[in-house]
Amino acid sequence: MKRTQDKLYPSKPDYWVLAIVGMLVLIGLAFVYSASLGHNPANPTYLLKRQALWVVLGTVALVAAARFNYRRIQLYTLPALGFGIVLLAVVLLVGDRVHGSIRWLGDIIGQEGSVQPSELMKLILVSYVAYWLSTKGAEIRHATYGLIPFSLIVGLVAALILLQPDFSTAVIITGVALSMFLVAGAVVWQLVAVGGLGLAFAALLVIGSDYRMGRIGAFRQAFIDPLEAGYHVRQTVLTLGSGGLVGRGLGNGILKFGWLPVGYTDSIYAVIGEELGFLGCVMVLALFAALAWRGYRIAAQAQDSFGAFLAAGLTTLLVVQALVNIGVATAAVPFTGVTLPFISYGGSSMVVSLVAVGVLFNISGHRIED
Amino acid sequence: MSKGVERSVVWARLRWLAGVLGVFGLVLVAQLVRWQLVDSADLSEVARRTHNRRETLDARRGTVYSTDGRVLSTDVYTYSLSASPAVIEDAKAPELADRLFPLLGLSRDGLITALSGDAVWQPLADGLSIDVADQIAGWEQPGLYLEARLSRAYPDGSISEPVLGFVSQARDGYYGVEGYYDGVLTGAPGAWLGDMALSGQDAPFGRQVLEPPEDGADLYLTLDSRVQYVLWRELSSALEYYQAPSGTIIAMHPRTAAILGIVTLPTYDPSEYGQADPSLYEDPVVSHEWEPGSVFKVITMAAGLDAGVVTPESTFDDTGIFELAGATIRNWDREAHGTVTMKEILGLSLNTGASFVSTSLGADRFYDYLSAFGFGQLLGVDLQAEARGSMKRPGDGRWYEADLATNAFGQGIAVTPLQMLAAVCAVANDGVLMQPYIVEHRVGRDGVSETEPKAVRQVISPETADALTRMMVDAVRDETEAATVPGYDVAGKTGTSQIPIPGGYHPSDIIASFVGFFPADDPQLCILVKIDRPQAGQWGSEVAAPVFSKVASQVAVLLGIEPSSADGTRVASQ
Repeated sequence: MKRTQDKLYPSKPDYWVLAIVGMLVLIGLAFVYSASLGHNPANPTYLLKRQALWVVLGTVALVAAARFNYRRIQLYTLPALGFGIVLLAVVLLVGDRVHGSIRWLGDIIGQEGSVQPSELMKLILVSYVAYWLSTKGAEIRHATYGLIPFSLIVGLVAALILLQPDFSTAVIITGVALSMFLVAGAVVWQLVAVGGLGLAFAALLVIGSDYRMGRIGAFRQAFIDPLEAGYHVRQTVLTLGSGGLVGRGLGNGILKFGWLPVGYTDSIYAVIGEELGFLGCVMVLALFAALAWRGYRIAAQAQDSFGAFLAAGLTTLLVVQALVNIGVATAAVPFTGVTLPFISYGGSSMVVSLVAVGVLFNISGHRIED
Repeated sequence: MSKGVERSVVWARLRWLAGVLGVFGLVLVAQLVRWQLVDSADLSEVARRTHNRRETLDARRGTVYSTDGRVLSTDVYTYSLSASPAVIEDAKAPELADRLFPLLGLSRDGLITALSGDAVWQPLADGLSIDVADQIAGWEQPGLYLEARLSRAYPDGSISEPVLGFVSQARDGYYGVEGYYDGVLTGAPGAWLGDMALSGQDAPFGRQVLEPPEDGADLYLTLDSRVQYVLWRELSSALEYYQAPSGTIIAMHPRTAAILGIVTLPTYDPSEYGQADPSLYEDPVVSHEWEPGSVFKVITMAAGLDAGVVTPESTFDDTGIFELAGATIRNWDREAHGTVTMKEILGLSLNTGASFVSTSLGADRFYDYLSAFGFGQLLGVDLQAEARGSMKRPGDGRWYEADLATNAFGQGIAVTPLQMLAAVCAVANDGVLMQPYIVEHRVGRDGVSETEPKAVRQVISPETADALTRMMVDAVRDETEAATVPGYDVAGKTGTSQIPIPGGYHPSDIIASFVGFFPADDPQLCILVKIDRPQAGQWGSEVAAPVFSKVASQVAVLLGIEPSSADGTRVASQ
């Protein structure tokens, strides 16, 4: 038994990561239940049961990932990227249209509205970029070997996701990839240049789209006076504000009953704010901060570059999604549909996030002890 | 590190990254502080207004009872019926109309039209009784809706109007008791507050608060419904018999000034107040003034006796004419009666004699007595829209010296019927003026509160009151036989007032009145009868006195007032 343990994890893995994520998942289940009470009055546990099923599946996937030596992932990153790109292309051709976007592969995978290829693509891209960066070493400081191929790969994936169109996921994926590039030792001015180009492009996309401009306008308005902003932002802030310092108590929220749109998915943080108040909100933020701390610590202590970049990328992916989601809920970021990892209702997000945690855990089991 | 990236670089870059994310995190915390701590109260209030349902629960208005326990006005539920023709199949409309039209009293064809078509909402009928509503509800017909609301019911109809007043559609009380006691009768509405889902249903686990309505207080009047009925019946037949358009009878207990009955005709149906002539809303008993005529001589005589200017036996030489400041006063019969006593002046109702008394008193003393009797002021009775009457006084710019002579027999001075009655009651009550009242007690949330009879002042001495009473008994016995009540000594005075019109007095119309109380040695009942513009009859003694007699003899029995013997002593009670 001891031998097996030693073989699986040469060093002591970071159980803190599991504890932090476990708490987030439990909070998530509680709030999916609370926020979906009004979703189907005849069967109030309907969404809770489905989410619990996804948590079980995700936990199985987490355990599998945790037992799978992360270094072997390098073998699959290129084929996975190819698979991912094909999947995105298929979604563009045959996916379900939901809210004007094509993000779900319901007809093909089965569980309608729960499996999003772009969620999977986040994992694949982070793995591939980690692998790619780890093979370059100091060469990434040369634009020809580093910046330009990097931009092409990331640009292609981002473009496919943009075409769905899923602006926020494209921005998050690009941002995460750039952050990994930074961690890998990129020349800062190159990064600034690429980042600037990316921002300029994003700005063009925003200006060219009425609904994105509308959201920017609503965001500005929300920052000044959320009550005069668009309905969604207004209701989100009202829900948060109704909580006050300690909230109405778990399960006692009212605005989730129809007043707050998508309370059990993207706006679940506002429900937490109404029921647990400022203290609950800060607690969730603190858990993500703790996750960031443990994740970056794992990256810093990783045995090899791939492990370091992968751990940094996965951590950044989870934390940035959380920050953007909470940013939307607090009107600190223009409105956009990003799930709160481990907490929002949604199958692919849950499984992908838990797999990322499994991989992080595995990397932590191979770290260099100080 | 395998490919030469320095661990220290990774460390430094990770710190940078963590720093950027940390700053972002702090921005989020700042926003949380802003929404959840700084602006929380405002935001919660806006949210609460959005998701709070508030249904008002009507409070019951208090019930008004007569002293004998009869309901005079009370709240009942009535029902309105509406339909949703969109829900009702057009083919079923005729069959439904067949069942509805006899209950609603509407035309069958009109109902078929109303029930057909695709309208979402169509009101059908209002004010349905609970029996009709029950029957319709029993059909369980989809698309028919009944709604209950409180409305005011007056079981005795118009008999006690306008003293009772009415309650408007908006549930406000107007005039009389309903108007004066509106604040007491009106309860505080309650509310059903609750957190609501967007669908309009209660939010599960939401706060649901019932604030029960507080019903208004019930009022128990001094008014006796049996007395009311007697007054109403006798006034109705008198108006018919004497061909008079209007009239008033008031019955009061002289010791307490509790109002036992007020009937005024014509009147209106309070449940149909909207169709009534609004001039009928005001109660003439408290709101209208009249020149009382000779009944006022009682007051003049009271002042003269009390001031010691005259005694019952002191004399006056009646030449048929009394002149003052250019005014010439004549008697009703235009005759000179020679040397007459004060008692005879009252019995024969001599204007000249009354003017002699008032001028003997002088203006100051005369008007001080009138004020003491309550004229020209509000009595403070608990009825709405009380008038002061109109009494001129030296120095107010409207008074002329001749008024001193005419006021003595009730001309050039205007009083309300209740003022006149209250003043005569003071004579019956050993000279003490009581404040008239109509609410005996009220029963509300704070328990029972009883009205204590309130003495306003001692106007004349008990001796004066006693002497005047004997003069009034003699006057009735000797000169106004029509007013007598078998078994009782009645003290009273007739009045025949001219009706002021611009430039003088109406050439033919008069107001006939009689005010009196009995039994004279221990007065239990004081009654004023006033018949306006009788066409068959010219004198108070002829028109009002018989009505007084009829009313008094019946009410005496109703109230169990013990008779006195012919010589004025009480029959010993068993």
